This record gives sequence, structure tokens and C-alpha cells, in this order.
Amino acid sequence: MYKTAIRRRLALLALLALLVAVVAPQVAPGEPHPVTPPTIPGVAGLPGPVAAAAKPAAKLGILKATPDTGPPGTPFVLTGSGLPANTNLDITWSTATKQYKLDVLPVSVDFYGRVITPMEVVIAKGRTDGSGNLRLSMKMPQDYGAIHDIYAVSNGTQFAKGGVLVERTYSVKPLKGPIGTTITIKLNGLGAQPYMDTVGVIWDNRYVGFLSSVTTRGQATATIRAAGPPGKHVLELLPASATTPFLNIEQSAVDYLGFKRYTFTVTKDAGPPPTKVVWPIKVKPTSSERTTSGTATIDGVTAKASAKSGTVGSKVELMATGLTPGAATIQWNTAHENALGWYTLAYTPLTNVTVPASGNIRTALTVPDDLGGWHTIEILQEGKTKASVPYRVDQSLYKGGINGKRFKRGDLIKIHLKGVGFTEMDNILAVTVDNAYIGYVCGFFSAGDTVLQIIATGEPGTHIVDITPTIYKQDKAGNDIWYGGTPFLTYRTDYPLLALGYRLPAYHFAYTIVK
Amino acid sequence: MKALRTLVVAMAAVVALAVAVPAIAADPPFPMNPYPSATLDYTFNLQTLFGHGSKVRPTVYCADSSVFRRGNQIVFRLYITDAKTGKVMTGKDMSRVVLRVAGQPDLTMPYKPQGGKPDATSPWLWATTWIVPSDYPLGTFKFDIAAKPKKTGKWVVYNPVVPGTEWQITP
Repeated sequence: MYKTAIRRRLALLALLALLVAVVAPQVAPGEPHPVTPPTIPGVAGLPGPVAAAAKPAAKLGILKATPDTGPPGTPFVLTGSGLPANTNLDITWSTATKQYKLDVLPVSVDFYGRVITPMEVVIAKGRTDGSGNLRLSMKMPQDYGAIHDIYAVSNGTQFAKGGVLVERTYSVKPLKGPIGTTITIKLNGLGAQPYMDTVGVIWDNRYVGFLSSVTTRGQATATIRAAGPPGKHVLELLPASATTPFLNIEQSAVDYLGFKRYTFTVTKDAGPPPTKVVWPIKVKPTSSERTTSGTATIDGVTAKASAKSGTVGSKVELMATGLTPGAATIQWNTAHENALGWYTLAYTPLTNVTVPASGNIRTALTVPDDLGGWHTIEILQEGKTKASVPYRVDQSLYKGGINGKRFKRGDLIKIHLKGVGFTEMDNILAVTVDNAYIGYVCGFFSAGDTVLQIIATGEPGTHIVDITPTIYKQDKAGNDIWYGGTPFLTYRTDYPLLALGYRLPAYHFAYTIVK
Repeated sequence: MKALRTLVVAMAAVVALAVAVPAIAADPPFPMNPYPSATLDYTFNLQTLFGHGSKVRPTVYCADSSVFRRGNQIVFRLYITDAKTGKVMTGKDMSRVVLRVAGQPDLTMPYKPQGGKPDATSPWLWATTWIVPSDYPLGTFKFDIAAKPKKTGKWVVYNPVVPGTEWQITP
């Protein structure tokens, strides 16, 4: 009996294994690919046209840049000698283009890291004199920072090489204010390569999150808030190898990147500031790829929604023409996570309608209490899809978000959000309390309904909780350990999902602990 | 029951093949004996280290690195091997070995025992040192090594600075 049961289980396992082996290729993910970043106001493009391929001369000379270190915009003089006489030269500058690599699937958008494409661009043209000398006045362009190679090139040959260090600049304002003061951090000149394009933020030896400039050509702007108690606090900005601060950068190969320390003075405890939701800047998506089933209509049918996005509970009108008179079902396409963490598509009927003889419908719908992100509203007739319209559910606060403003030590604090999404870049949110990263909350298994529960601890006075977009999984690219559930402070301008039309906010709460 | 057992075994075999075949295909055998090389005459095994003559103190002396600061002394040392026979080339085999750094005079690399106070057990290598000038261009560090075997009298050039294995000069 026992042996028979074992045999049955073995047979079942073998069948399952075969099923996976046979079915897996059919449901294999789409092709991960670099996604063009959206245009961000104030972000520079490539500093010059892409240079033609060139090879070093047998006897490579050197170019001197004076000065050879400075922030973007620094003037410098480039000189060289021993070059071919009376020759026109292209002055090339080593840089890169950077993109996020994503895989847009029906049930997720998977993160495959960064794609860095090194290249040389022409930033100036010069001509040698009769003795082969070169002298050019130039400026360090607004570009990724760190070290750039400069070559003097003619007809595909690099005759001499120079280099400069584009230093990073820091701005932190203000440096004093009450608890909850918004502190703006502006960085410029972050590098193109790993270890150079992220900066970790530390507040009183507590990890706050990181700034990145993957798609913003070395520029990064983010805000954090001043945490109490009143008095002096240490704010540090350090290079990060991935998302976390590299604490002994001075012993690394990139020691020249340096770091910054500031003192922030918390002037007073003026009580908890109001809850704030801060959205990303508005950008034009560069990709029309969408999760669930995307846009589709059959011949002769048109369909559109009165709005492209809304929050849970929003009203939206669906309008369609060219349908067959008779019964139709309006269906909501979404995703679902089972107990094993597998993502699957899921379908929910929203309403049944009767299409009149005109074939046109105009029906009011309520956005269901569901996951955030891109869904489709589908019109079905006789079991066939007649049209599907993309619709984005944005996150929102539920009943003001936080369950109070005054707590005693040991009280349970609840923060409640709706519409948290299902892709790897919007299904979790990173949490800090008093600028200390404590973990993340996830809304996938709970259909977007996301409740953070923490116990009120610490000294009497005002405390802050900040919730920031972050990336859930970072193992897809194999060796790129980037991100990983920590606060992505530059979510407003550099977040991978911006290219796909997502708008993911950060939340700022505060409360007072009373005796 | 027998039919079921046969089915199980057949399916297990299919799954095992599906798993095993790509693994076998993806792992070419390691070349246990690389000599004689089909394409090369000589191989160069280069090390670059932080030297004790550094004007700017490195994090750790003698550490192997490909990133050096201005003022660091770089120790270049290498073995040269006849790629046809596997014989290590000594001072008897090469008439000259030269380090050629962009924009700098050539530096001869003598064949000598390793270390500041070599003894009878010290390994012999082709070696020289170079201190990065304080105004040397930042960025990719371009150099190569030229060697002249006595038996051919023709220079052989080793260029280790290829994309992906670049040396860097930093401030």
C-alpha cells in the first residue's frame, strides 16, 4: 500500500516535471531589452556626435589637460605635441549611454539591471600647427562624471591620449529646520560605471536610501526629511557599490569619488507635519508595452476609456462602437500571485451590458479594489474579445493613510495604502522610520491592499515614516546586484517604470509619541 | 502497474536529458596541456603591483592592481613562455624586453630575481618599475611590452590593454 502510494507520487512528480519541461518554453518570458529613458527636463543628451571607430597609433602620444579636474562646465586647455603637422583632428570624449533593461510580461515587468554602452563622442575639433603642436580651449561638458579619456583622432587613428576627472558636486539645502523639514539633495557628475552612479544616504549612522543617475546623465535630485530629536544630526552622502553605502571608499579603486558630510540642525519639534504624497515628475512614456493583455480591437470595433488612469474606486466610462447587438461582458484583466509566489493572469467581470442595435455602448465602471499598475478593460461577446483598453491604477491612501497622529509607546501604528502593484518594480515599497531603513511592504498577494504595522517606540516627540518606491527582485540579470528593496530616492526622475508610463509616489507620514 | 512504471522511467529519462544535455554542451574541456599553441609563438603572464618606491602611498604595498594613482610606483613583472614548447624564456633566450608607456621613454625590463633582497630561491622574472608622473593623463593607461627573441631577432609585442582588461590612472 505504502509502496503504491510512493509510486503514485513519483508518477505524479514525473508528469509534473514533463509538463514543466514541455510547457515552459511556451510561457517563457519575453525578450529582456533596454528601454529608452523618457526625456527629463534639464537632463543633457550626449555631449557630442558619436565618433567613428579609431585605433591607437603605434606610438601613442599624450595630451595634457590644464586643469584636468573639475565639475561639469570647468574650462580647460588641451595641449599636445609630436602630432602630425598641419592636420585636422577630432577631439573625442569617452562616455556612455545607459538604459534600464526590462522584460514586459503580461503578469510582471521584470528588472534585468542596467545596460551601459561605452562610446566616444566628438566634443571639439582642432588643427595642429606646422610643428605638430595642438592647443585648444575647451569646457568639461555636462555629462556623467568621473574619469573620461580624450583622444586626438585623425582618419581613424588616435594619435594622442589625455584624460580628465569630472568631479561630482553636492548641494544639500536647507541645513536646519524643525522635524520633518524637507531636505533637497542635488548631485551632479555621478559616473557612468557601476560604483559611480549611485550615492547612499546616511543619517546619524542610519541608512536612508540611495540616489541614482542611470538615465539622468550624472544628475540626481532627491529629498529626505529631517528626523528628530532637536539638535545636531550627521547627514552623509557616500558612493554606493550597489544601493548601499560603500563605507571605506578611500581604500577602493575609486577613492577619488570621495564623500560628503553635513551637519543638519533640527531646530525644534513643531509637531507632526501633514501627510504628504509626492508623485514623480510628469514624463512622456517611451514604450507602449503594457502588462496584462494590452490594447486590441477586432475589425470595426473602437473602444476607449474616459480616463487613462485613476485610483481604486474611481469612476471611468467605457465607450465602444461597432459591437454586435446583444449581450456583452466588461472584464477587468489583472494579475494574481499564488502561495508559491507564481504570477498568473486573472480576470474579473465588472459588469454585463446589453449592446443596443446601434452597436455602441457607453457604460460607467468603478475601478475595482485591486492591484495597481497597468490593467486592461476587455469587452467580451460570445466568449470572444472585441476590444481591450489599457487602464492604470495609481496608488492611494486609504482613509488618510495613518490611523492617528498621537500614540503612546507600545501602541500599534497602521499605515494603509491601496493600489500597490504587481510588477517587480511596483509591488513593494521601502520603509524608513526616523530615516532608518527597516524593510518593505508588499501589496501583490493582498490585491494591492497594503498595511504597514509598526509599534510606536522611541522618545516622546515627533517621529517620521517615509515610504518610497523600490525594486523587489534584482536577481534576473545574474551578476547585477543593484537595488534590492531599499528606498529609491530618485524615483521621481530615474525610476525604470517611468518609461512605461507608471507613476509611483512616495509617502511621508509623521506622528507624535506622547507620555 | 508495469505500464505506469515504464511511463515514469521514460518521463524521468526525458527530464534528465533535458537538464543534462545543455550542461554538457556548455562546458568545454579545460585545456590541460596548452602547448603547442596553434596560434601563438609566445605567451606573456603580466603582473602589475604597487611598488615601495611610490611617492603617493598606496593602500597596500605589493598588492596586485590595475588601477594606480599618480605618484604610485608600478612594478611590471612577467614571465614569457615559448608557446610551442612551454619553455619559460630566460635572459639567455631574449635579447631585449621593453615596457612602452604612452608618452614616456621606453623602459628596459631586465631578467632578474624577484624582490628587494633576492636569494637563491627567488623566482626570476622580466621586471621594471615606473612612477606615474604627477601630470600624467588620467584614465585608461596605455602601454605594451615588446620582446625580441634571440632565435628570430624579430620583435614580439604584447598589448594587454584591451577593452575589458583596462588599466587606469586615477588622481
